[in-house]
Amino acid sequence: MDDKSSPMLEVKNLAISFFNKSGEIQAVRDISYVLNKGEVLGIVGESGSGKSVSSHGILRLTPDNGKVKSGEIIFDGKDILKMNAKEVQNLRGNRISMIFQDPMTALDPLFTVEYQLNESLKKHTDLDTASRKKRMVELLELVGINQPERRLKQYPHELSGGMRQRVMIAMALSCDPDLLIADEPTTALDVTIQAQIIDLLKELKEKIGMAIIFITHDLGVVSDICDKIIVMYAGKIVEEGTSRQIFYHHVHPYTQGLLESIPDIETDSSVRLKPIKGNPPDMSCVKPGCAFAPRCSSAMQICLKQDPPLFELDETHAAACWKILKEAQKQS
Amino acid sequence: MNIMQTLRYIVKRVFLAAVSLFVIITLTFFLMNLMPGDPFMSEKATEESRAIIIAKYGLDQPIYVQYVRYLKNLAHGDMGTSYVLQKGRDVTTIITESFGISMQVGIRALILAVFAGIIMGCLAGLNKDKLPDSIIRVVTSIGISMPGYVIASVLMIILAVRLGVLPINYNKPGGAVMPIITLAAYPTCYLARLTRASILEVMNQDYLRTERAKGMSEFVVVFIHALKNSLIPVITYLGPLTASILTGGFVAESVFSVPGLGRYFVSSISMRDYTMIMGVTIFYSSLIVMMNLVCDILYKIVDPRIKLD
Repeated sequence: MDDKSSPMLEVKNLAISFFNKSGEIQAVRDISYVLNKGEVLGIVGESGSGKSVSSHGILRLTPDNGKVKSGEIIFDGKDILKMNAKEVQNLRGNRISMIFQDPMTALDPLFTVEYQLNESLKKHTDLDTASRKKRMVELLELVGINQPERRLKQYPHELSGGMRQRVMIAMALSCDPDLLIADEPTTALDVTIQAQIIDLLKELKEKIGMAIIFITHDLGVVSDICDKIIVMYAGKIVEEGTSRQIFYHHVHPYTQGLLESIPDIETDSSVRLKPIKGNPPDMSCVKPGCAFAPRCSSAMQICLKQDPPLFELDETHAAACWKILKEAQKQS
Repeated sequence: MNIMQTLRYIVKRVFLAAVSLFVIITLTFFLMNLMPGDPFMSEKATEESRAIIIAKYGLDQPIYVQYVRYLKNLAHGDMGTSYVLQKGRDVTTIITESFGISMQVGIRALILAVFAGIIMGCLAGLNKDKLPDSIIRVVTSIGISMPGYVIASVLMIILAVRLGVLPINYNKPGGAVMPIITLAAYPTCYLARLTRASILEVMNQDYLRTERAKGMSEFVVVFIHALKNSLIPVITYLGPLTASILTGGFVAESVFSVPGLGRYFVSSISMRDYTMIMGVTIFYSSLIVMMNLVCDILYKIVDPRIKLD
C-alpha cells in the first residue's frame, strides 16, 4: 500500500525435499517469487506440484520428514528460515496466518470456538479479557457468522463445513495479518459454499488490505481474485504472470492444458473437456529435461535433455518452455 | 438443560444397573447352589449334627425358598453372616473392613499406574523410534505378558530376599510397596501402550498444524491439544481398571498376605461360603457398574461430541 518498491515477501531459490526410506523426494525445486503488500498471488498446480509444500515452508510448517535444502524466505527484511522458534511463533498467526484445506479436521474437536479464537488473541495481542471477547464477536460478524455470541460457545462438531472454514478465516484474521496463506480453502467444500468463501476472501481483501497467497488446483477458482498467478509443475514454476497474462496470453503448454480442463458453463455439453494426458512425474527420481515433456504434445528433442530456464516475456510474464526460445530465434 | 439431561441419563443408567445387578444376583445364586458340596462339608461332625447345622441356616429348604428369603433380606440391607471364612460375622462388615485395606493399596496402585502409564506413553509416543521409545516398548511388552505372580515373586526375591530393603509381610512398615507395584504393573504397561498409540495417531491431526500456524508454542500444542485428544481412549479403560484395582488383585494380596477383599474372591468359592460369594459378587459388580458410569460421564466432559443417551 505505502511502499511498493520493497516487496513484503521474497522467496529466493527455495528447495524443499522429503526424505523417506526409499530416498529423497524433491517436492519443491528452486522456486523464487516476490509478493508486494496487498497483492493477491495465486499458486496453481495439480496434486504433488509442490504448491502447498512451498507455502507451508513460509511458516516453517514443513512436516518432520521434510527439509528445506536451500533458499531464503525474506519477510519484511528478515529471513524466516534463519529465525529461532520463538521468532517464528511470533510471526505465525500474527503477521502471517494460514487457512487450510479441510475445515472438518482443522479445528480441535475438544475445544470451543471461543477457546480456539481466544488462544491466538491472547498470544499476540495485549487486549484484556473483555476486549478480546468483543474482538471475537466482531471477527465472527466480519466473516459472516450469525449469532456470534452463541457460536463462540459451540464446539466444532456443532458447525457446518462452511461455518468451520469461516471460523478458520476469523481465526486467521484475528491479529490483522499482513499476509494470509490460503491453502486450497475451498477444495473440501460444496460448490455453493466455495463461491461464498471466495467472495468472503475478496471482500476481506478489500476491507483489510492484506496480501493473500491463494493455493489451488483449480484455475477457475482464482481467476478474478488474483493479481498474479504462478503455475507450478513438478516442484518448479513453469509460468508466472498477471491474471490476464495467464488466462489470455499463456505460452506454456501445461498452462494451456490446465485452462482447457476447466468446465465452462457457456460451452455446449457435447464439447468434451480436454484432460492433460499422462501422470505427473515421480519426484523421487528426477529425470533430466523438462518435467512436463513426456506429457507435452509439442515436445522437442531439447525438452527431453535439458530443463528450460524461466524466459522473461516481459516485466511481469515469464515461462519455462523451449518453445519460447525457438519462436524468438525464428523471428530474429 | 444440559444438567437436566445429564441427571436424566444418570437416573436411567442407575435403573439399568439395578436390572443387571438383579440378573447377576439370580444367576450367581443358582449357579452357586449347583456346585457340589456345602459350606459345612469340612466340619468334623456326625451326619446328624451336620444336618442340624444345615437346617439351622435354612439350607435344607427348597432352593427357590432360599432365593426369595435371600432377596428379602438383601432388600433390608442384610447380606447375612459368613458361614465359613469368618464364621458368624456379618458379611457387610467383612467386606467393608477388607475393602478398606484393598482400597488403601489399590488407590496408590491406581495413581501410580495412571501417572506412570501416561507419562511413559507420552515419552514413547513423542520420541517415536528413538531410544526412550524402544526402551519403553520393551519394558511394557514384558510387563503385559508377565503374570502377576511372576512379578510378585521376582520383586520378592530381588527387593526382599537379596537386597533386604523391603519386608515381605504387609503389616511391617514399607510392606505395602511390593503389593502396590505388583498391582500397578499390568495397568501401567497397558496404559503406556494405549497412550503411545493414541498420541501417535493424534500427532498427525490437522488441528495440531492449525495450532502451530496460530503461533502456539510446542508445549501448548503437545500438552494441551495433543494430550487431551489422546486421553479419550485412555478414559474408557479407566472404569473397569479402577474397579478391579480397588477390589484388590487376588495374586498380589495372597502373595504378600494383604488382608484385603481380593483374597475372598477365590477362597469364598472354594469354601462354599454362600453368603460371602453373594456378598463379594454383588459388591464387585456394583463397583464396576458405578465406575463405568463415572467414566462415561467423564468421557462426556472431555469429549463434547459424545452424546449421553
